[in-house]
Amino acid sequence: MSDRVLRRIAIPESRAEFEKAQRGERFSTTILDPGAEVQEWPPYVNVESLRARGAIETPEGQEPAEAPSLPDMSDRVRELIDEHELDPWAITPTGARGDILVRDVEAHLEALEAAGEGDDFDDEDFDDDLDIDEEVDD
Amino acid sequence: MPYYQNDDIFILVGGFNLIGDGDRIDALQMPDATAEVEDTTGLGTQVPIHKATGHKAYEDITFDGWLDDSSDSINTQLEAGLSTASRIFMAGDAGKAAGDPFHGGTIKDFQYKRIARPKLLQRAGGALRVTGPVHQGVLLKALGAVTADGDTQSASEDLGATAVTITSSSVANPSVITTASPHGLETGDDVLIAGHTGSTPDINGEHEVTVLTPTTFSIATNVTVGGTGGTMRRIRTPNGAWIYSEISALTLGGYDDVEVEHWDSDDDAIWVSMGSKQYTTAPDADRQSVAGDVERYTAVSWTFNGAGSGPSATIIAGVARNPAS
Repeated sequence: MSDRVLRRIAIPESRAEFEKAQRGERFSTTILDPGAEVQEWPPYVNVESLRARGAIETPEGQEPAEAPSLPDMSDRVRELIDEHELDPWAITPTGARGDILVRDVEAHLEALEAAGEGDDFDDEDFDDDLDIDEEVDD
Repeated sequence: MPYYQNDDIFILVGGFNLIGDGDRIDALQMPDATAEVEDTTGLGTQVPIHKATGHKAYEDITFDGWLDDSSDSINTQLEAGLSTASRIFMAGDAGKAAGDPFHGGTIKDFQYKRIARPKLLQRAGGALRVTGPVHQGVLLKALGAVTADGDTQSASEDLGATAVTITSSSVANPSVITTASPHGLETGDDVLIAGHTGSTPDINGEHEVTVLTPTTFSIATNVTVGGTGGTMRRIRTPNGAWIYSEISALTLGGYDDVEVEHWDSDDDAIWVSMGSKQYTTAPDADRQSVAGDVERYTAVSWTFNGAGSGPSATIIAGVARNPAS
């Protein structure tokens, strides 16, 4: 399984660098030159977007490289992400199974607010009866 | 017609920085000056540019005024042979920082006449004939020297920086979206709608638009219950772009070249190259046509390829998205 790079791509070196990019901070990138073969993409890369933009292709007869899937999350977490127009890939999951928890969204929003970005929010955005320390399954 | 202070004006032709002596320039009249502006200080140049509208061909850039004859001045550079070939220009009258607008195109048939020479200041007039279309874009990097590899990806240009408030979505197929202020869209653009409430189905998300009026557009969604509120941002344009760069000075210090590369991104983190130019001499300039979608964020990088020490390059770069044809 692999994808071939058709146009030069600059990708944050790590999730930490990706999060810096999301906060508008300086970040380090890895450059993929045309012709490079990618076996597995980092989870924060939107592979379908790169494919749609003609930046990568799957060589004939091969399967696409492993595409990352979003971490699990509850409906409430999904609602909050939609409500605040967040990028779920930018949220660091802390759930026991790698899930994104409500508190992860809250921490991400606080980080954005501290960086002067994102919506203003307050605790009323979160359900009073929801224990944000508990992992919530769908 | 407004007038502009010298800090807001720039013109580069083939890498020549024609207004290098900013303190000698008083004003620039754009886009459709009908009369030249006479300087009153005796130390300035007036540079009216005619019909610099849209992507249509427009007339000459003309100038008339007092020009400094010192090194790196307009007088010296224009005498250096700008009339010999078509040259790429970048010009602006509303600032010269990253994020400010610029006009780009091709100039040839330079005409220049020295009228008087009182010591260092030259009284002169002339015209730069613009050929072909003029593109309107945004500066990604202001003219300035760089001495190491770098980029503007963490300070990118955001097409969707300004959110436009949505008034309503209509019960229709396609649904008509009304905005509280002019949306600035063109048919074929992609927008991101967020925070819109009450509609069935939920129309929050990405949509391609068909523009109806300056404050209405339609999306290909069958809305059965209309909604209100929320915002829309322009996140993608479909008709390609022109990428521009100019280099007015270059010291390679042993490096092979300096590569200026334009990038676009849909998330401000993962970047795809739009094209690049490797400069080995200065002054020089380049522009390239880019086809297809251009994403929300654009940026430029510069890389000294090879090995060496003490390099320096004075560069400016911008991108002009093509409008709907």
